Amino acid sequence: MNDTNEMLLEFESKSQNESFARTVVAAFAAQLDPTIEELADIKTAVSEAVTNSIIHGYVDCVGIIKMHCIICQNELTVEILDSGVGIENISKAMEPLYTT
Amino acid sequence: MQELKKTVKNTGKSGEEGTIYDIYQRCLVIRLNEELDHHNAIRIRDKADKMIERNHIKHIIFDFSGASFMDSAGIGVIMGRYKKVIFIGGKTAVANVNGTVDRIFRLSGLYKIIEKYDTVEVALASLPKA
Repeated sequence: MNDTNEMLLEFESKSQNESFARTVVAAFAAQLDPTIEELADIKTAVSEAVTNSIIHGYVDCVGIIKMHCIICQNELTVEILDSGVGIENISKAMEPLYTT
Repeated sequence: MQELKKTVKNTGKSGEEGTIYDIYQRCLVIRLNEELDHHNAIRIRDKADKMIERNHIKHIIFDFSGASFMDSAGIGVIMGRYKKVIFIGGKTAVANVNGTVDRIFRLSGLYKIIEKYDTVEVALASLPKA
């Protein structure tokens, strides 16, 4: 039972919360004893996703961003969710160097 | 070492020192004292641009000794300042980068257009005189 854990954080889409989200995910991930490099990668990924929700998702308004983290055995899953404008073509968006 | 011409400090809300801007002849040294993410990037970018325009800055050095974190917003700040001075033959450099920041620079390919120096002193000595 002790090798699973879960948390959900909800916060306003304001840029001062980018640092807050990074700190929270790092604190939650700490129980898995990550290396400095792994922690840096996790923080960077969360920072990028949260920033995208703030500047692109909720482009001219303030909304709620959710950060959902699940630990299962030795694996951490992080989901960043927003209810912003959305992405028109997700598969295109995932192509390298694609830009609008 | 070149003479320090001017220092501009940005004091944070709690009174602690934020990013400090030093000018040596035509070189702007941006001493980051905070994380370089989207939130801080806006302020740093605007302040740096004002300093560049008002002081005829040609070269820019980013001192990362006080920057514990950087993401793509930081790359944007550096790229934007690089573009501002490149047309007048200016160079953009970074100094005192830690392992995490160094990795992001390498992955992004930024070292193709900016120089890395161990310290600000070495950077100032290496940059062409204005």
